[in-house]
Amino acid sequence: MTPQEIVERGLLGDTGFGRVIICEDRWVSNLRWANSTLTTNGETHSRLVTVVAMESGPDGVSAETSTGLVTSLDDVDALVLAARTTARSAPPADDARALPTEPTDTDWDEEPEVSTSSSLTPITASLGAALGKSLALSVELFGYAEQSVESLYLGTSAGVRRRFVQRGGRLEHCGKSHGRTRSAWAGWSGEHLADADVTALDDEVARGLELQGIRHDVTPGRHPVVLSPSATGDLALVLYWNSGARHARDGRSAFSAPHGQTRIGDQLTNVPIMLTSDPHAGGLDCLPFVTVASSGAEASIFDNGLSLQPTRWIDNGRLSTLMASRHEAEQTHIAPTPPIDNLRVDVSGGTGDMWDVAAAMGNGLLVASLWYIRSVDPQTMLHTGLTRDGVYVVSGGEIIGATGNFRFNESPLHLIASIDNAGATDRTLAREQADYFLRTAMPALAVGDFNLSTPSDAI
Amino acid sequence: MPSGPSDSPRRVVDADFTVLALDQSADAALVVGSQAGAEHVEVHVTRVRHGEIELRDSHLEGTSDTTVLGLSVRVVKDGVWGFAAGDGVTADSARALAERALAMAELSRPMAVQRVVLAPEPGHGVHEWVSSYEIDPFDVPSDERIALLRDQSAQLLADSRVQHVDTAASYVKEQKFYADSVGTRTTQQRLRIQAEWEAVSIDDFSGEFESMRTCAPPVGRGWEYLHDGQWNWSEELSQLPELLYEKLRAPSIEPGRYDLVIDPTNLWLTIHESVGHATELDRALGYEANYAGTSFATLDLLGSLQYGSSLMHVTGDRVAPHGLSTVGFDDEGVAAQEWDLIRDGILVGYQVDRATAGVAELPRSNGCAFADGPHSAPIQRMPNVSLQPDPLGPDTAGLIAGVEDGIYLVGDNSWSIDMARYNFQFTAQRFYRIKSGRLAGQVRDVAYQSRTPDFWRSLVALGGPATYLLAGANNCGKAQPEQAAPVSHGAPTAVFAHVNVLNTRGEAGR
Repeated sequence: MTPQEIVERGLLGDTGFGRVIICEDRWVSNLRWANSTLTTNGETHSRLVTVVAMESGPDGVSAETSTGLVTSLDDVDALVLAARTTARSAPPADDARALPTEPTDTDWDEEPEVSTSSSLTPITASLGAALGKSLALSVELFGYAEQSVESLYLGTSAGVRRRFVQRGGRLEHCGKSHGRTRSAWAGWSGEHLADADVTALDDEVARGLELQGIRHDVTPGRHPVVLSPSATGDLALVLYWNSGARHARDGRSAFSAPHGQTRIGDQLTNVPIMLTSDPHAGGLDCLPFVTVASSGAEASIFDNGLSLQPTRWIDNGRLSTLMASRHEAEQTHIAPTPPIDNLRVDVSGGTGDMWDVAAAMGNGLLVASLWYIRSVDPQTMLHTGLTRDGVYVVSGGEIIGATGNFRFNESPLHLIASIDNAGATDRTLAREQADYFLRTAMPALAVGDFNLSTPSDAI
Repeated sequence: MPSGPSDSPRRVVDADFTVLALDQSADAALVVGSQAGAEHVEVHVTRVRHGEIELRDSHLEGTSDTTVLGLSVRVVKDGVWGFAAGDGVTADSARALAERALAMAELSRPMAVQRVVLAPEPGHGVHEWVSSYEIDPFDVPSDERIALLRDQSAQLLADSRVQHVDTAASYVKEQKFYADSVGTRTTQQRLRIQAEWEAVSIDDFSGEFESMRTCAPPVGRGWEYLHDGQWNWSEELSQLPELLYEKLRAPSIEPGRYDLVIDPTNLWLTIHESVGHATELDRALGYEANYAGTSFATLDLLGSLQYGSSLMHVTGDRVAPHGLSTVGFDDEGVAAQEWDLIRDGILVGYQVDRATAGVAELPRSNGCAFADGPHSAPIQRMPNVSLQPDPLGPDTAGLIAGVEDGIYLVGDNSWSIDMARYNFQFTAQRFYRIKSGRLAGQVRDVAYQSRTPDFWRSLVALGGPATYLLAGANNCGKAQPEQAAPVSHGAPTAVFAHVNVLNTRGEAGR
């Protein structure tokens, strides 16, 4: 039974107001290590089918979503029946509208991609060598490697037939030394795990551990800080996820303006910063059409199949638009801008890597990565979190050692308004949010007064 | 089928789960593993059904009903783990997955410096266990489920002080079959449910806004939880507009040190982060060092670490009635237990699975293995971790009466803690100033921040059993690939002296 057969079966006969069938075929293989030895691994395969049934009633169009395992075409019928039955008794959906029409994808007829544990083989030798070397150097290594491949098929009663294969490779590598008094981390993401350079990541961790040889006391407070591309990515994603048009229009977001208006058009910063998403961005390719199982603040089931367009969220420091489904876009009087699964930050004129930006800063701190970032106050977009695996002390443009970790309390809005300098944008792994958002390209950012609120004893 | 330590003797596992080829799949995989010479083989069949309803301003926004089902095989071969999972529940797919798990162990061998040694667990034979509930939410007609939520939302929204209401309900039915190479075969079913209403109030003039949501915790119950009086929903919802209105207009807190009276609706999360995760042995050993983090409560400190004041008695269990982590057997075939983690303020125990118990050379696992779905490998996850009340302790009013200058906190909100479980920062749904032993109105912009041992050593009073509440979360994250686990935390109201309080507006530079 092919995904195409599943989709066509689900769209047979009377489809009510509309129907969407989504078939997700997913392979994941992974390795995990700690204390310089393997701890867990896995090879998994799953195929889930989602039916979104839309039914007309006296009060409007109602909908329901049923998702399940399908082992026969009869199972597809059962999912459709369950969704239709429940939809008919549901209240009407505010976001109801005709499903979009799009041309059929040229690769629609192709089979799902298969990715077994053999996808891990290209790194096993180099990883085994790194683990072995670490034991000789009294370094403990911890980390994770994953290759995922998801073949997604989406068909609708409006004639849409779309297919996309999302491949994701990821490798995280953390080292601790000197009785776990030093800790450094390096991360990588791309399409194919085979492209990960374990030796280079291991060298990057070793460099971090070496730089932590001299400890400096730094008091909490606001400091000039260089955020690594990974740290920039995590805070940029905070900003991204808080960019919903509906909450702004509701008056309950940092992007709200009085009387049901939003801050679209406001100059958020004088820094020439761009925050953009593009499903076809080279190296960050992601799902190019809307796939939604259940409607929410930023997404609508009635947009399923809609092509996603390159979007400038912040354009030269100006808030250009906010996330919105077609329904929400009508309410907010903007063009539809559904969420896109990649994010890029560019600062005009930015050059060099985080070490170059740190050197240009003169004096301050270089933060390698962030962790446990949580919202504190949506009014200001204030978030708290921790620095992790490397806070380096920069003096006269040189790294002179490291200090301990800090809890920060900071808003990405304040952050983008205080950028003093930036590096070149390159693909990075935003560490905190890598489970949910793998495709980011970020620069290192130098900011003038980052709020390192309280000290942390964690290493 | 003999019954195990059932939480609900009146129920049996649903027939549409037990009719699956459970034993045939297990037999097939166990034979493959045995013939390959694996030291340990376990077979899991898991089905998780998850329903969700979301409303915005009493209008239905989205509903979904998702079922995942699959089979997994985990082996230990020559001291190396191998895990594979797929969708089919047949003998053929089980055989194929057993082969894949063995191949994964072989592929991993170059990286497996330390061999896996599982703490012994006897075979328990065949058992069935079902959690305690009255009404399966999936048996309730969808329109009835939506109507109940919508009616309460509309009531909230009718108050002019409330501009928006977000409503969400989720309910999960989890069914698990487990078989291993020492003869344990368990079939289990449990339910959990959560519902919450969040109201938003906006000051049109200033543009300032505040939100407040219900404090009702997720529980291991059925749909009856929403109407059987176990939680006083009508009272909580009716009070929300006034409480929210007061919060929006409350004065901002002056930062400094305060005595805190912490309600169990807030304290459960602090326990979760600063005690629950800190007493996971896999963290203490470093298994989560790249991801979720480590723990300051390392194994060498077992029996000597002064974790908190002598009032502190924290237990771990997988048996508490209606607990989110309550089971009959864990996902390694270990029978559910209850034990001390902290006694008289001293670290005396950990949460372990069979592998970490093996590393620590403990005689037995205390049953903390859990996999969150059919495609996840079991790892050490949190049992119900609870702070015990003072048997003779006062009620919450009595605790407040003993505080001269402090803050009373209700309901969880923002949370964050560092990688070693030291530095944490929490906020709440409501903060009341306490002056001369009395509540003196709400304040806002409060965050309490501390270092775990300092905080728990500042525990100066516990409420009595009447203040005890079993709260918790459905979404505790850990491991790579990440897994989400449900877990409960019981706590009484408690008093902590001289805790650092931040002003969140000040932290934002406003």
